[in-house]
Amino acid sequence: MSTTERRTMTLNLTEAEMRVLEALAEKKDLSKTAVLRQALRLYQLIEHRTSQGERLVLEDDRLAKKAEVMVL
Amino acid sequence: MIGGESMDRATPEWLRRFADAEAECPSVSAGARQRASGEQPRGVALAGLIGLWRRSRGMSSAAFAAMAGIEVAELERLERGDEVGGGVLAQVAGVLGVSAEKLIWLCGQGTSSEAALGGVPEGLGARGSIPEPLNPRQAAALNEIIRNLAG
Amino acid sequence: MGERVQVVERASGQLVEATLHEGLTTRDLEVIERSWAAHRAELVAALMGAGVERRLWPESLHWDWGRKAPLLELLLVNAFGVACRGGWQAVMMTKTAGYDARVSSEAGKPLVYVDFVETAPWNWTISELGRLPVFKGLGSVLIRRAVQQSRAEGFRGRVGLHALPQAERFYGQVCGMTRVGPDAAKQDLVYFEFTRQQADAFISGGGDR
Repeated sequence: MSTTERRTMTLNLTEAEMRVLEALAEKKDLSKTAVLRQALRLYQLIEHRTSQGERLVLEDDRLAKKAEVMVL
Repeated sequence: MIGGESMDRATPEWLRRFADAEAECPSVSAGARQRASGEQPRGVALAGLIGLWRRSRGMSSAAFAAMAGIEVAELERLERGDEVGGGVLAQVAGVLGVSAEKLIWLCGQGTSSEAALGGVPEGLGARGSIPEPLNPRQAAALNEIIRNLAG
Repeated sequence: MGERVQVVERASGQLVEATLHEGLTTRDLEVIERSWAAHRAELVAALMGAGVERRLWPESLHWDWGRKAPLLELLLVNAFGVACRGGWQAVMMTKTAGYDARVSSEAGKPLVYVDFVETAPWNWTISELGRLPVFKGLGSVLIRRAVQQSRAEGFRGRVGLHALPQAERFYGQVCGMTRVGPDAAKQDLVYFEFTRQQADAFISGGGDR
């Protein structure tokens, strides 16, 4: 698998989506492109694990509560 | 590579400095540790040993299980590294021709302070019922392990 | 794809040309483990024969790179390997998503996580058996590559990993990573992390403490 070949895509985002993307980029000290790459990798990971029967659970140690994230 | 950043190559001085310091350290491994001893029998080592032994004789799971007087399903649990009882261990020890006592140490039971075999590489264990044969080096290693385990 | 690197041949002290490959495949990991597994078994036999206490055995002896291969189908996983003299000498698997820095100065910012790294069994130093590595510097070369991957990803060189106990000295004292502490979520292995500054120092050669 090549890690250097690149293909270009044009992405249209709403104002709200662009604001979120820019905020994440600033918070994470990443370019907007890098943020979207992170999103893609994480989405694939979640999809991969949930398709094998696992559930994605978010846990709050402070409040001792768990909430399941449903990935549709 | 993202961003197209070129790889700045390490200088010989850098390499020698870090290589010498690295060689003073026992390990550079990062990842996961082996299951702690003291738990229920560490079936991983036993699974590897049985797998090696079966492969050395081209023996199927069914044949080994029959020889040991255990169910095939029980053998499959063993070869997955699951928990087993002392009676089963003694039966398996009989087939392998090793000391039952040492096999129990192998699986992490008992309080002996003697060296016990742990971490027989999973990669050498037979998977499935038709094992591929061992190469000469693997066979020699198995013989040495068996020799050390024999009463 | 291969990048030319060098390692040190311990016996001669000479620098040896090697290739650092990125994008190892499932087949590569299976080939690696087939090659290394026999040496692992030999070491087990030698350790038993020498009566070495179990707690002193190499801590990655039980690993199986073939079993890690399924992870390669994920975009966030990359596998690197160093090859020379016709053999694979060291392997590293990294993850580039899902891990954020914990050191307070850069907490919350993404880093490259070294999921697994190991040198070939014949490159281990096992003082109890009088065994010395055939090649030196492999761990340093791979961690350097991890820092470079982090920079390329925009993570500024930040790298995190959980060291096996026998490797804590390498990451803390040799590489100069911050020892964050034992992680109960990871078998109580000690978590180490490069800040951006520490990564820069390591690359430039000032990481030795």
